[in-house]
Amino acid sequence: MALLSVDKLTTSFYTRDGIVRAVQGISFTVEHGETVAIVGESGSGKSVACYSLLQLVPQPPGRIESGRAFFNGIDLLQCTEQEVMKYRGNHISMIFQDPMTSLNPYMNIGEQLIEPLTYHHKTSTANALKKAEAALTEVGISEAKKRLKQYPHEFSGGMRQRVMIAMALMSEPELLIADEPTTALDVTVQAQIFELIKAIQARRNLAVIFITHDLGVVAQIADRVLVMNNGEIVEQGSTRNIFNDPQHEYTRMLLDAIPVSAKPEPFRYRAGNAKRIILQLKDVNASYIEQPASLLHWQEKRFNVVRHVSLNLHKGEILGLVGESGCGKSTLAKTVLRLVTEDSGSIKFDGTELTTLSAAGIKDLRKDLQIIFQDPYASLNPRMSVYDTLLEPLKLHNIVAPIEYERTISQLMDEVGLSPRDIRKYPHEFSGGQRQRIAIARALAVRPKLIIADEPVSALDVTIQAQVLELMLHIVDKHHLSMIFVSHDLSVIRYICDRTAVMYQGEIIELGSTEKIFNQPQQEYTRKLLSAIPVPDPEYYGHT
Amino acid sequence: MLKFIGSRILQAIPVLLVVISVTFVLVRLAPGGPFDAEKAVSPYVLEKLNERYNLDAPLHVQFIDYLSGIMQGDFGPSFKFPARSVTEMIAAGLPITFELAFYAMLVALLIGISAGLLAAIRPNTVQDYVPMSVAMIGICMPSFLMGPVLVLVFGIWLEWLPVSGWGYSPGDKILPAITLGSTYAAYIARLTRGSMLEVLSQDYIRTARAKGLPTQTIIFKHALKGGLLPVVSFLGPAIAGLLSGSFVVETIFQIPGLGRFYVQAAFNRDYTMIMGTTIFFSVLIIFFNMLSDIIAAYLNPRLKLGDKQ
Amino acid sequence: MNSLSSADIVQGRSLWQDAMARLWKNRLAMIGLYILSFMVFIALLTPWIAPYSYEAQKLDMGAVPPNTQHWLGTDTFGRDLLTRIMYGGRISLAVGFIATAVALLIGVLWGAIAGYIGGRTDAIMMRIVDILYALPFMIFIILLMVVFGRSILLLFLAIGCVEWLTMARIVRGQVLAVRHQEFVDAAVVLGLSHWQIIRRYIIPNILGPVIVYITLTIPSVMLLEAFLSFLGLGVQPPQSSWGLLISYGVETMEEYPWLLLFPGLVLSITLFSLNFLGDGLRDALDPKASKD
Repeated sequence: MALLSVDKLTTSFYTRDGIVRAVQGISFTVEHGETVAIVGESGSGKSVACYSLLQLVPQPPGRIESGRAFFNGIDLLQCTEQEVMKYRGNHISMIFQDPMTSLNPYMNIGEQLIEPLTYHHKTSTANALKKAEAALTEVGISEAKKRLKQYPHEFSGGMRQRVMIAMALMSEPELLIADEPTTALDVTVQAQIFELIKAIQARRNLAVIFITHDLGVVAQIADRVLVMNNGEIVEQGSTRNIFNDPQHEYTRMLLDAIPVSAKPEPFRYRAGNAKRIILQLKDVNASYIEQPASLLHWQEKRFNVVRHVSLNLHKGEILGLVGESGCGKSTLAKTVLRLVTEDSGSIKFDGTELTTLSAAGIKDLRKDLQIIFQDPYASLNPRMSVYDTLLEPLKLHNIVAPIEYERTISQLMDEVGLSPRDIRKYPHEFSGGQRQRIAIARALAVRPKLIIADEPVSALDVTIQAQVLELMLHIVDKHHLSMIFVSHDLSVIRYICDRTAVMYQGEIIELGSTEKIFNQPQQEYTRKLLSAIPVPDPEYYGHT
Repeated sequence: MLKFIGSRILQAIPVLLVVISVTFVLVRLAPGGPFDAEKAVSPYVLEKLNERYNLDAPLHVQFIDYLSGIMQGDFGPSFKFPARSVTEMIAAGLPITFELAFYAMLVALLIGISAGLLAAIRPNTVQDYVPMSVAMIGICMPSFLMGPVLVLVFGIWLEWLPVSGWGYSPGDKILPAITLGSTYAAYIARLTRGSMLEVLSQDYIRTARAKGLPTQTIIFKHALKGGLLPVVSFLGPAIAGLLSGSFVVETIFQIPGLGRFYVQAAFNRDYTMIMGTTIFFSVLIIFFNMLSDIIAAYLNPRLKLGDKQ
Repeated sequence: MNSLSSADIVQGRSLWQDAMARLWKNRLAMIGLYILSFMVFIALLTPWIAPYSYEAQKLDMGAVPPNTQHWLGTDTFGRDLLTRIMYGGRISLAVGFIATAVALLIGVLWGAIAGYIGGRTDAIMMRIVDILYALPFMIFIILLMVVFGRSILLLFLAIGCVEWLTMARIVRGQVLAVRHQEFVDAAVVLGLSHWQIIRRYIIPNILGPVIVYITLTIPSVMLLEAFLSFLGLGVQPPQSSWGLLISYGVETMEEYPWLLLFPGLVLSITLFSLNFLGDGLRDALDPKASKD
């Protein structure tokens, strides 16, 4: 008998704006010790489906309309709140996406770890603490006894996720539901967490439901895959079959959208003109304010994030800047844009030294140098219509005559794939991908020579990611732009960049053609980064 | 943590100095001398009076004398009642005002927190609307209106409770305490509801639910500590409000506390008394503000360890 | 595509329009708005529409309960209570609005400068606010009124000078938050000047919370005035305010309860309206913000 068997589960949300059918009659099973991945984009209902099993969907507005979910023969959906509580954290445990906010900041780790035991098994506190110590050790946290007394903010993100896993394992569950457990973590930490989950799973014959949007993760960890779209399971099967022989159109679209596999050639190397250097950095150092000035600490505390960076950007090329969070890649980008003032060094753009530029000179520079930000929800002024947003740069730099405004804006909209009919709309009336297109149009409006893209697709769903990346490639070619592309995501870098610079602790440790970086990495850190990328190919991980 | 307490105390000292000097200067700036209102006094008597109240010395000497007096707990003699010192009058009124403020705070906390919790547990239901509507009434019925209306209804019309006094007849403390506490009960209810709703929507509450903990454990063990932090921080300002609220309540109910003394002194232009009570009230308020900050910091583990949030 | 006829263009809905639509649907807030507008309207027109002259006394008549001649009754001097409430409302509302305007002016400037410049300037400016915050302001206002006499101008100023502190904090917090949004960086990169950024990016984005705070400051200022007047330390006769009327009402409430109840009712209703309107505006302008 299957451990879990879900039959025609339907969950809806009754909101002010109408009924949202989040999950529409899905059925699936999970066997003992098996790993099942539920993959889908945001809003596909993958999380709601799993939360419904334990009746963790907030009711109201949520409502589990119908369906059955047999866990060891008991229908969880027919249970009362009291009955289902006996399963939560006991037979079925969960871990969540953001380990930074998922632990109670007001209680120490020990108090939180022992709760599953003290509530479900009436274990004494002393015994439970002993088990908690063992659990922490099992998930790879040293000095467990001491750490039990510490509070969550004393742990790093990866460590907190280990604590969450330890907590989920306390009462020896048969099923673990992991909701995007590594999305908020750096790629090398993500790899470690996967290793950990796999090791524990093998040891304990634990079944795992893995909710994720990342097909690379799926290939790495899952035995079977359910693909969800708009609240329905469009396809399910073994990981191998899904990847090699996708039946449903949506699955094929998802697979196509993965940058690595969508690429026709192994590596692109566009005809960047190595002789024409558009941007030249020499020994640039920059810092950010760690602690602002206050009356007690008159000097603001600064932290050096960019150290001795030198690099050249060729005209017409896309240079990738890759590294984990905190490596200084965004600060470096902002230094070039004069949003952050460097501490020392030289930045030459198209023959002009930027570090000594006057205010008037900087204003002229703005026309040539533009940026696209990560968060399309924060990078557009919510109070300005698209028309005003695009008009502003045209007017400011006298790009075209006033009579041409309307036509130019329509053209820009058209170029980034938006309907010119929508120019009177406001940012909140667009989706994330569309907003990113507006941001691209705004950057293009001044007809720049160089665009710096700071994680421009990280906040987007994979299918949207692929479209926006296509658009960026298109505009770079069409307008003979140069681009610095900042990202933590190696597969995106590999897809779009001609050359790549790897940043680690503020320094560029390796720089070369993308092909060379990926195929013959010279530095240990680069190799570690590369091996941590989940490859969306089950064969790679030896699944059969 | 000790560093935090130390820095809070250090911060309080300049504030206190500002309070004392501003009060001092303001009172000295008052148009006309303190004895102008009285019938004409002979130059000799005036001189004697000035000497008695140390008014003939240069201003900075007066200030230093006054400051050193305060250090020793001596606020000087009252202008109006020369036989009594300001310190004596404060000592007489303080216990009563404290008792009143204590009961009012009790009313505010008990009613406020339980109403706020009730509302937050089931938002947008009757259990939410009823206490929150009552709280709105509490906010829009200031104590100087609430007090007389309560007196009119329970004291005069129904004759259930005494209409004035403090400790003379049984039950005469009930109406003043409710009058003074009601506004703050309302504020605390709204504050508790808001912050509990916020805490209950946090990810770590979802974690607690996923662990299978019963609702009351989640609310009292996981949510309450974070949820009541804003209430703790509000206690300082609330005590300040209660003390100034005592002016009105003690006047309405004819309670011989510090607040009523203060209002009387304000009417009589009893300058030494005003100065003394102003400074004394300020010290109290600054102290309680500091105390509530320190308690709030103590409850927050991130601050307890001395790092900045 | 380049010759768009205006009929083709989809009209967007700005956040303001969204907010106004939400406010329009909030019944309590709209009732508050109507009542408030009514009160302001009456206050403005009082000299022309008051049923009796402000000074008119009928000493021989004394206090009579509400009747057809005097809808809300008369006071012990035989003065019409409705007229007195109308004139008192002029003062109470004026104090509420003018003192809030004073607070707004100082607070917005102070907070905006501190938040926009940041760094040490911010540290010093906000520390000054912190110190002033720790002062027991109510006691200081009383002290001011005692020392300098009870002038209504001083009352405006004193209350305004106290209430600006919170306004400054709110504005600074908002400016800081908006300033760190990516769209401000984007504006800098486009080459906009500081003034253009403040006018087009910062102000429109902090206006919502400021409006909400204004609506919630007015009632607290009116309460403060009423509190002082009740103690006899605020508005002085012959001027009148609701607080003063309530304090007269208390003296005679045993025999003539309507002299307490009607002014109290009018004050409470006004405070209710302002609070409901403020809550409604908060829900409308900032749907994410919790009801404190």
